[in-house]
Amino acid sequence: MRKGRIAGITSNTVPWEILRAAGYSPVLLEDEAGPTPHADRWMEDVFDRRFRVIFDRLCAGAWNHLHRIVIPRTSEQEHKLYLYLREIARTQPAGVIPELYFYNLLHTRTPESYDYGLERTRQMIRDFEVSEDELRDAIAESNRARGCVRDILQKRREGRLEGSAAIEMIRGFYSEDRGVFAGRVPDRLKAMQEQVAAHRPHILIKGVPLKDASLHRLVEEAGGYVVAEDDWRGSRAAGETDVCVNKDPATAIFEKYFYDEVSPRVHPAEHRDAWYQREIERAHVDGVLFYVPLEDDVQGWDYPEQLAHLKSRSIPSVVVRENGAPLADFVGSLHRK
Amino acid sequence: MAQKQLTSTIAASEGQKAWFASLRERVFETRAPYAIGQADMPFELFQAMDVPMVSNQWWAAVVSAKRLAPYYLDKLNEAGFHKGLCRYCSLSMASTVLGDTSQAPWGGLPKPSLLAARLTCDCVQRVFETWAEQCGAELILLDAPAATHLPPRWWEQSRHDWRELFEDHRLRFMVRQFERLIASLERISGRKFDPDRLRTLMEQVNRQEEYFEEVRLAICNAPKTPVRMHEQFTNVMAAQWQRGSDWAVSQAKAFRDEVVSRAEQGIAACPNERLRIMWVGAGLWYDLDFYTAFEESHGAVFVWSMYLAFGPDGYIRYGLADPLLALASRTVSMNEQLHNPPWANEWIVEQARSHRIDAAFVLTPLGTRPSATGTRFVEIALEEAEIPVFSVHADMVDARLWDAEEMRRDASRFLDHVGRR
Ligand code: SF4
Repeated sequence: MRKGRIAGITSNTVPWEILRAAGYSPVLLEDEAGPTPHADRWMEDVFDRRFRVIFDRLCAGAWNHLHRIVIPRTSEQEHKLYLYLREIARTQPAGVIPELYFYNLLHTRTPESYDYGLERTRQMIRDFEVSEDELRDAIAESNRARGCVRDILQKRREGRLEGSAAIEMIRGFYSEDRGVFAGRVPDRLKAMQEQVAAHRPHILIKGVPLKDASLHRLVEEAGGYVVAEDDWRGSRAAGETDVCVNKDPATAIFEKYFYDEVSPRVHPAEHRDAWYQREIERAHVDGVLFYVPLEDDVQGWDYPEQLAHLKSRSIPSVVVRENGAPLADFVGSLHRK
Repeated sequence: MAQKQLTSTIAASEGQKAWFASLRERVFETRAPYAIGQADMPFELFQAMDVPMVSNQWWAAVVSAKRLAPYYLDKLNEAGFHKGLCRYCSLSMASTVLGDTSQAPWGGLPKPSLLAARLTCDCVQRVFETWAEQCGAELILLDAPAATHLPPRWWEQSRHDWRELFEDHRLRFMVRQFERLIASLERISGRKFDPDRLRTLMEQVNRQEEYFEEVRLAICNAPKTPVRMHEQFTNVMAAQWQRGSDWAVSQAKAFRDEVVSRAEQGIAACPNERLRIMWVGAGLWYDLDFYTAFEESHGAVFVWSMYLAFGPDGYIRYGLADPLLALASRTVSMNEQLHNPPWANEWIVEQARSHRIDAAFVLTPLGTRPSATGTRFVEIALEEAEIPVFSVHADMVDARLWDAEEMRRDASRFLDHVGRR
């Protein structure tokens, strides 16, 4: 397998396996501290801080270790980020922005979107000039890492791993070579045998995408145990299944990202909420924390129905707009079933 | 509101009201099906199938102009939707399912059979899902793959070279989605889709937009604009929502005749015109007087908005052998062309130059935040072209966020400065 180049990816639905097969080390582009003068000039305040930082650092030429940027059609902000970067690359001095690639993965679960996405995935494989063998190797590496993510989540379900620690461990799934990640995680998990969750209420976090584990820490400080989060950085990182190894790799990769990944654009709503509903049905949740700041444009539309559903099952919930506020009181009012 | 100067404007308003009244009558009395859809949906398909479609944005504008938006938006918040959520697309929903729906303008919208939207953001599918569930209406969503072929000066290719401009894979995908939409329309209406009828309609749409192009040219060339911007709104939107129909084409022609004749006679909408202003963004539907507020004091006349200007560049398609494919090319990028780089900034600067614009007012939507994208690119491009920009931070429908006096004061100061240049 060719190696050595770094590809910056903007979220969970960039097919890691294709980039890996093409010799890239894919790395999730993260928020970082500091001012964002380029973003302040060009971007409206609707963009999340992480996308502002990505735009800013790329315009500034500060991330020149990246050889490629790959952006999926998984959220509108990423679509616009791509258009903005294309325009900067076109109109500003050449060479600053790394080569951009857009992966047109759609999330409406229709036969047309399926065919379109599969065709775009095949096109991406052609564009990156990768062989079937290279893809199979990358799939195997990636699936091993998915297995490790599931082991992390299992440890947490057993009450032996704090939610904040789980989020931090899972981070490696997006930022490291998955082979390295898969080699490193099992030993760390073996060492975690102590119960940390006894009698603490189990909380599920739902809402806008989390940027780190700070909300988890607040819950933990208040005495809660975050058992799951409806978020691709946490409980949903590995998805329900691996990339199938018994199909042609293009179809297998595409289906994994089409059917088993998180995106605000998934439609219909039953599919979008299927994971969350299952978690609630499993009845190991004592309360749900909706993290929905007023800057949110998306989750708030689903909230009234989700609230009604929780009420019908007598599961308490709270809305947190900013880190803090009613959170401690809410956690304090819960009891472990 | 400033007096209407054009007979065609009065005819357009009356035509629209009559259309709406007959829609209500048909729906209530004969239970005829009708649809509500986003402004960037292929209205032509509905027209070709005789299923009337109400534009969601148009209805939101009507509710807002009647100063009813605060009432319905409060109801939306009371129903548990938080105050930061997008309003332009949800106001019509609120006015049909929340609170006292009979308070809505003209007796309110009857329950639709079909709701239809193109997914240009991550929120609109949720608005339409909620709406469809509340109304028991069928829901059709068109997904929206991104354009990756982004050549400069798109408007020079969109009429003849649309196949290359809009990318084959995106067009084919949109046609497949249209086929699903057509199947729904056939089921709902009991009629069979006829591609020849669509082709004829598309030819009529071309004619209609060619009339609008003549109007645009007359405004560009006249020493002082023969028609105010808000009269352009009324004429253009009434025809666009029924584009290609006999009524729409003849309305566009009447508008063209009147504007061209006024230009030929040297009639100015505002004889005091000293500054030509462009309005970038959706209209301020609850305060249309804003657009004439600076005529007397500064000779500042709003002459340009996207509503008229986009007609010819965004809609005309020549080469209609495959009308569905041509229609797909009109649909796949419409919203992006109007608001986002690279399309919007480059086109708006071109428009500003051809209309001899002295200053631009650029709307950054406040309560409809996701639709604000692209605004900075437009503002910076205008400033680089040496056109002064006044940023208007406001919502297009939510009057609760608008301080009319303060905004007029700030705008006056800006225009003082422009006038001195
Ligand atoms: S972003 Fe635009 S399309 Fe989406 S809900 Fe808001 S106004 Fe409607």
